[in-house]
Amino acid sequence: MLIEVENLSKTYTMGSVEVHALRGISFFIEKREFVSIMGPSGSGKSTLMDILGCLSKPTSGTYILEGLKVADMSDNQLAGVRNKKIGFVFQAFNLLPRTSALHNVELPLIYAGVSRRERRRRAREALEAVGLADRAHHKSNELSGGQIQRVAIARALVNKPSMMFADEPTGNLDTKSGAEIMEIFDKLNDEGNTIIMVTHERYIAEHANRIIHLKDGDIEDDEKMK
Amino acid sequence: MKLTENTLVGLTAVFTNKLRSLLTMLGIVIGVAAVVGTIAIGEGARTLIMEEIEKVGGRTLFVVERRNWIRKGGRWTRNTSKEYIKLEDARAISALCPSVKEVTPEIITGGKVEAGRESQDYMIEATVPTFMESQSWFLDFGRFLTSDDMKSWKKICIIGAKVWEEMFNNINPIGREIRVRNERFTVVGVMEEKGNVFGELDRDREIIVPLTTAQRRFRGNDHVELLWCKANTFEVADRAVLEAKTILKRRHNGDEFFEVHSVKQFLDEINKIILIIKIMLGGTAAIALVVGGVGIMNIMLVSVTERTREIGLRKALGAKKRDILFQFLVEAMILCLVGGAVGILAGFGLGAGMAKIITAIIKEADWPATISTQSIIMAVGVASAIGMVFGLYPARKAARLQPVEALRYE
Repeated sequence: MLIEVENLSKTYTMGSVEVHALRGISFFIEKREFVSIMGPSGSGKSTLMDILGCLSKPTSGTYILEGLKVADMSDNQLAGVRNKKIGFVFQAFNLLPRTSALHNVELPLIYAGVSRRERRRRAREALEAVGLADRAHHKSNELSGGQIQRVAIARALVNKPSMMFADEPTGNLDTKSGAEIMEIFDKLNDEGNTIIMVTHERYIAEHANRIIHLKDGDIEDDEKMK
Repeated sequence: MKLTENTLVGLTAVFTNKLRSLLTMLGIVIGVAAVVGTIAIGEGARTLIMEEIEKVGGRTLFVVERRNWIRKGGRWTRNTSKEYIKLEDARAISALCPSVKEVTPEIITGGKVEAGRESQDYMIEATVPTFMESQSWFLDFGRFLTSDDMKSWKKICIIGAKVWEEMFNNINPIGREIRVRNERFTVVGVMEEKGNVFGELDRDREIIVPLTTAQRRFRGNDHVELLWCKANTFEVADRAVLEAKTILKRRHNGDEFFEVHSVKQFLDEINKIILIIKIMLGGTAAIALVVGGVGIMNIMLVSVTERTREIGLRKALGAKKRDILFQFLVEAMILCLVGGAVGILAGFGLGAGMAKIITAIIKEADWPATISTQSIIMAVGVASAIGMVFGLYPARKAARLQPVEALRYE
């Protein structure tokens, strides 16, 4: 089992008001699955994504990632988990500004302590995999929106993580570029990568083989596709 | 994460905001330049004094002379002792004090000197053959005093370079006669040009005669005014003084009718004064450095806020707290060190400029600006320390950001 979530809740305090972003949800995700998380804004999907991505900790409940209890881990251990087990693709601000595509892809390897030569090699490989080998030395501000997302995917792949998280990866793209990105995700999933994607577009979500619908911090529906 | 990577990231950040980095560095540049420049001036004072001291015989020199005033029962009274320094005292000190290298006795006086129609007042130094060595002042041509001159109170003299010019118009004076305080003397030598010592003693306007001759002809007694003594080394200078005092007291019934001034004591005093000057100047400069440091902190705080999302992204990709801390510390250090390097160069200029101004004001000596490795090491040390201290708070702030909050920061 890749992900085991039990009775997970998250409560924020905004001023004097308590916001229950997640209200005790439970589910499992297996290796090689492609899962979409859908829901209207305020449904808690981003919060869930943050917790699953080890970017924040739940208020209560357990989250077990590849047999490890995330709640017990220190900040540094969490950084290690994010570095080695998780690849992120965000909606915006994915790349460091004024930095080459190649260097952006190298970042996780830098924090993993990989040697320079090895980093270069793997980063080039990853860029090739998303069809951007010829853009390696372009700065991030010289790339189109679609290209930026592809560099981000290359970066998410470069450390050979256990799973990839995509937070509205097509949110800022036109339909054509969006379709190209989704094609890459499909291909990556076919090759055996686990993908968890947050979106609010049905036709994007349907690329997955499972859709978890969230509403008001609860799972409304766990829909199996195909 | 490796040091080189952090350094690269820091460098990139510095170069991306060139103008801002330059303005930030300016504070450090001015501070370091002020430190290096002012210390150079302080060191210059020392160099200047050392040069003057070398002119009168170097760091191992000490002078013994008869006291004019004595403190008795809390009051200063004229020295009425019957004891005087004699030529034999010089020989005794030289022979009996193991730390004393040589002793040159002297009488300093002055008077009218005439040659042909020329007439002028000059200083007269009456001394012994070892004088040249002890003062590091040598003959231009002719001969110097000999022991024979001493034994038979010969009326010969050696004249300074200016005396030669003013009395003889630079015509060969050897064998010529001049009148010194109405006594006929024969010129046997001319000293090389020496220049002013401490801006006062003009040695080129001097006439040197045998000590014994001066005692007999000018003074009518066997007294010696002062003893130029040299210790074997600078390290034993204090001991040499002690030995000389002991011998003198023993030879004069325990009477302390004389006093001793040593270059070492003088240098110790001077060093104290220079240290105080340096602390004052350096303190003022240090304030400039602190102001520069606050500037660095200010800019680094802006930089952290501006790059919150970058920090979030780096953390999401696996950057640990220490990676982020390091990245921002390195950035601050680079600003400080580059600023420090430029500041050192500017400090050279500042020091040289101030030295020129001081030289123009005092007019007597060429005030040097001495750049010591010590001051450079200090400036670089202080600059990096400022980078560390003032960079630490912003860097910690960056390192402590929660990844989610940083990523979602608008």
